[in-house]
Amino acid sequence: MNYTDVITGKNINKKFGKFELDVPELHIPEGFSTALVGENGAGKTTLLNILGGIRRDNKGEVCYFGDKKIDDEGVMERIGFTGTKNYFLPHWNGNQIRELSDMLFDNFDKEKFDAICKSLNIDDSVFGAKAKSVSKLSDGNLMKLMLATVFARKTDLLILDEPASPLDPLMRDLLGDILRTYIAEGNGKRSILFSTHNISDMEDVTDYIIVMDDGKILEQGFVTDIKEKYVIVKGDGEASDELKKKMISVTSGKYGFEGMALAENTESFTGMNISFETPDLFKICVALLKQNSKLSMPVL
Amino acid sequence: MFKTIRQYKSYTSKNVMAAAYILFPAAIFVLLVTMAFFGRNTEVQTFRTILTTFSIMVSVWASVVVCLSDRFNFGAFLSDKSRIGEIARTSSKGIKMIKSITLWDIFSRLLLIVISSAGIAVAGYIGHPDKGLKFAMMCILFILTCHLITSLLVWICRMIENQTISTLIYSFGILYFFPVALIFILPEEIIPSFIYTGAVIGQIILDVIVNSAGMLLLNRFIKREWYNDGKDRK
Repeated sequence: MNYTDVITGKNINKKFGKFELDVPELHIPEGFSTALVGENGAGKTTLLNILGGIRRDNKGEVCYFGDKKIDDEGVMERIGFTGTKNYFLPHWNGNQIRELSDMLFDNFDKEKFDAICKSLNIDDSVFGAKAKSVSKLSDGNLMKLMLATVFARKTDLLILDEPASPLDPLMRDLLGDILRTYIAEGNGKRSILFSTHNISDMEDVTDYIIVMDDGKILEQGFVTDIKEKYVIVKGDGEASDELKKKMISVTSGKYGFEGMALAENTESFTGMNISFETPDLFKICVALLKQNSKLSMPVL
Repeated sequence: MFKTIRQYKSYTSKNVMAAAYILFPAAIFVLLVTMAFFGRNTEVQTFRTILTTFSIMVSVWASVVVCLSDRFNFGAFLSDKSRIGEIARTSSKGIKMIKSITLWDIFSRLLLIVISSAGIAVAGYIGHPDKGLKFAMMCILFILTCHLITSLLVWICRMIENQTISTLIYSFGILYFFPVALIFILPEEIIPSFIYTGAVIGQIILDVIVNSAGMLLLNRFIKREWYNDGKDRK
């Protein structure tokens, strides 16, 4: 698929003690919605913070909208970023956030912000004469407020760190609609990069996916291509060692086994009593992440 | 400067800021000069009481404004643990605003202390040309000391990231004003004029050094927080 990059990264590297984020090459396609998926501690937030210009203590080079740098004039104005914590300070209230956003961003529309807060049904106790601080808000309302400040601006790129995690199913569904509309109305010039653990919920909004593990990118590509790349392998009984070697991951159960394999290897399974299915994004991600995961079933 | 005042407005009401930074010192200046003019023939001790009262008012004002501006303006961008709100980092204006607010805060405080001190000096000279100026110097010295100590402690509070210590410092800040008794105990004659002048100049220099050092530390802190942090955080 032909596309240009909205973000291009080269040799992005950041070390914290034993952890190392190491991304030799990164391409976020323009005009699409990209999901960043990985285990807790995989480095998703660090990478998003680097790409959003929140932290600058990394090595490597990041370019936006072609060959522009984050500090070039107008670049930050075109990027909408929401973080998971410390985005707003806990003692701020909604009124201050409205004023502050207006001061910080030339493209912030106060009336639009009010309208978005109303349509997202954000707890109005943080606004008005006796406004409470945002520390009193639930995680879901806080995320909605963050999203409102970003959607009230004219941006060309959204970088959202786990926007769906604290939201209820209804709001998550609405967020999907908002993100789809954002991309559709951009005529190929608007892009989204978000991290998520709710792969199934966000699959409809995902065009391109990056799977991260332990600071490294395991897989990246358009969802359609990725789905063609892998197959689900199902069979009765126990999977043989020969079969396991050919698969990326295998899970055994009472009624047989299920695993993931590369679609290009399906011919090597000929003669075995197995069936193939097209995987959804969730299964692909789980299979990829299981390869190196330290998670195991605890004894209950 | 006006842009920065507009930024202040967002966190503290316009009236409070106007009263804190303009009306109060202006009123002190006018009142002092007027009272000194009409009270030219009052006895020295009465005049000393008037000047001392005004000195305390100016000192309390300066110290309270330091703490207020810390909570309402500096604190508007930095949390209790001095972390910069991420939203400010996502804007090209964010860090510039933090620096300009702090700079304007220091500049306005020092400027208005100078205005108030000038009022006290003028009042002292008008009231008692022979002894008044020397006594006014003592009062100004007291104001500058209070401001210097408060600034120093507030900058420490901003950097140490310990809310309990900050609260203690803010709560007991009023204790700095007790040395005011010295103004009454020490007769101004025992110290030569040039020492007073030297002490006032020295205090102003110290005040500027403390606040400039604070600004430099803030700058370093911003760089550390934004460009070099994360040794132990993801």
